[in-house]
Amino acid sequence: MTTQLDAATQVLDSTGSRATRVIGVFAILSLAVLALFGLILSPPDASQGEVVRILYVHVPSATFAYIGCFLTTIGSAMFLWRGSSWWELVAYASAEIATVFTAIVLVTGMIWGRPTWGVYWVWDARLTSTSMLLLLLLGYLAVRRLPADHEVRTKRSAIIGLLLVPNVIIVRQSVQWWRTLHQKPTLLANGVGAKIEGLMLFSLFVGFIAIGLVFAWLLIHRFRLAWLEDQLDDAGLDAAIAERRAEGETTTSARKYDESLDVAIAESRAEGDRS
Amino acid sequence: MSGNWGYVIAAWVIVFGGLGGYSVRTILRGRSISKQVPPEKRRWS
Amino acid sequence: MIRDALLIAGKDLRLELRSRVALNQVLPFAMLVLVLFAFALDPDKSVLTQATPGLYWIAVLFSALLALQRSFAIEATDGNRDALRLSGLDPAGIFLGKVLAVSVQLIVLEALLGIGVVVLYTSRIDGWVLLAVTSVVATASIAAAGTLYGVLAAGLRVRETLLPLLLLPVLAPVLIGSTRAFEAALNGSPSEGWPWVGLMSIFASLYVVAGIFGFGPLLEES
Repeated sequence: MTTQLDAATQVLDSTGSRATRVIGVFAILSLAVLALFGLILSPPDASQGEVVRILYVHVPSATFAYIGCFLTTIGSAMFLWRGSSWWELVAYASAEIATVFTAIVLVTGMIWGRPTWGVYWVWDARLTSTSMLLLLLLGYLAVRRLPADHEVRTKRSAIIGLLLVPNVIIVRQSVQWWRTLHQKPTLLANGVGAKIEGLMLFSLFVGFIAIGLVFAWLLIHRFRLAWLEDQLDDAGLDAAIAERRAEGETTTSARKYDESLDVAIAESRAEGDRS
Repeated sequence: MSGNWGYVIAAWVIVFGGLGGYSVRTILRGRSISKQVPPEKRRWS
Repeated sequence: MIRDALLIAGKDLRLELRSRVALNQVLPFAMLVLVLFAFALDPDKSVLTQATPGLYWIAVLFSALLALQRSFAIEATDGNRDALRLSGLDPAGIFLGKVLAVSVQLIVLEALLGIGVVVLYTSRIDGWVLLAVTSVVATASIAAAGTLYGVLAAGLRVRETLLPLLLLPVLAPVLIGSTRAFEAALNGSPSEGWPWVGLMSIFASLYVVAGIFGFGPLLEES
């Protein structure tokens, strides 16, 4: 099972490593602590009751969804500016993880909303913005996963990724204005509650740690998986090119393409001469 | 109020289940693609 | 850059004048959307009247998708895109030219649709300035973002399904802003609409700048 490549790296038949194992263990431990404090040791809220416990996972998930978006934008910027494919993979992995987290935020938000507001959905600023975030992320992923050339996909998705944070900011701001300009602030706005302290605050804190560790763990694995996927694509592409070369030397299509290119160049030269 | 425990449990199950399922999927895909890629190309370089 | 922009805008608009696609297809489509909303909502209650600004801008948005697809479809034929690349025109100029051409088409569309809005609204219309400025800024926003994402989607086989998915979430703030501004104008309280115009100006500026820088590289390899 283990292939010894050199002394430093050993098992490479999965995306795991010592780093991920260490982080993974801490993640599971902190999730257990979170469950202990969030579900058992912390008290129910004075006004919300037991449902406040949902927020201990809901809020950290939202935070790390946004952190994922920032990573995607930064990664896209570094890729476009410096050509760093390492950053491009970070951008892609972050985006997908952020999408999972955003979906979780939406679902837990709805579950929290049902007993609190009586309905699963309201068009308040937070839920609406989160839905928009999901759509923006899905757009990025759609382009990154296009059935197209690797260069084309990465460059175009990077532009979308670069604009992701600006778009999110503008959308959040406009949704916020829209939903709060004429409404008096209600309990709806104070989802987390005016005063959160003591064991409840501690549970939330543990939530951030636990979800954060999960995010980091997932990021490393997803990064490595993205790298593997690209390697696979390249290998497939190399094989296809080799095939075409073998058969392509004598086909007429190659000659026709060259001819049409010559015509296009001659045409534009003629236009250039004229103007 | 205590009748809302159902919602709490549902939410936490979804979070743990969702994250767990995604993790499992990522790991499994990592393993399966690793097998198809020559060893020297398996990690970023 | 400006000279190239006017060149491209002129070419696109002349093409439109000759083929009249926007006039014959996009404008009827916009009217169709408005009519469909009348079917979907009950015209006897006040819902339709209250929703008119929003419906108007949704019709404009959907029509813009068609206009943008068309703007890039005309480049897809006969190696036009290669000729464009090799022509030596400044890519930023090409971008601005396309934005200008689409904007002109959209403004005409909005004016014609707007006549319908005026007809539906029997109450006073105070904020003419607000309506006009909102239209200009919103149109610029739609055209700039649309042209950038349009060139990104151009040349891909999935472009028809990809452009709406990419563009509509991005344009959501423009929809919110233009609708609120129109409502403010039509309800006689224009002062509430101007902040939205400000937001959309920022949006338009962002996307004009993004397009100026991004259009060239995207055109190179589409």
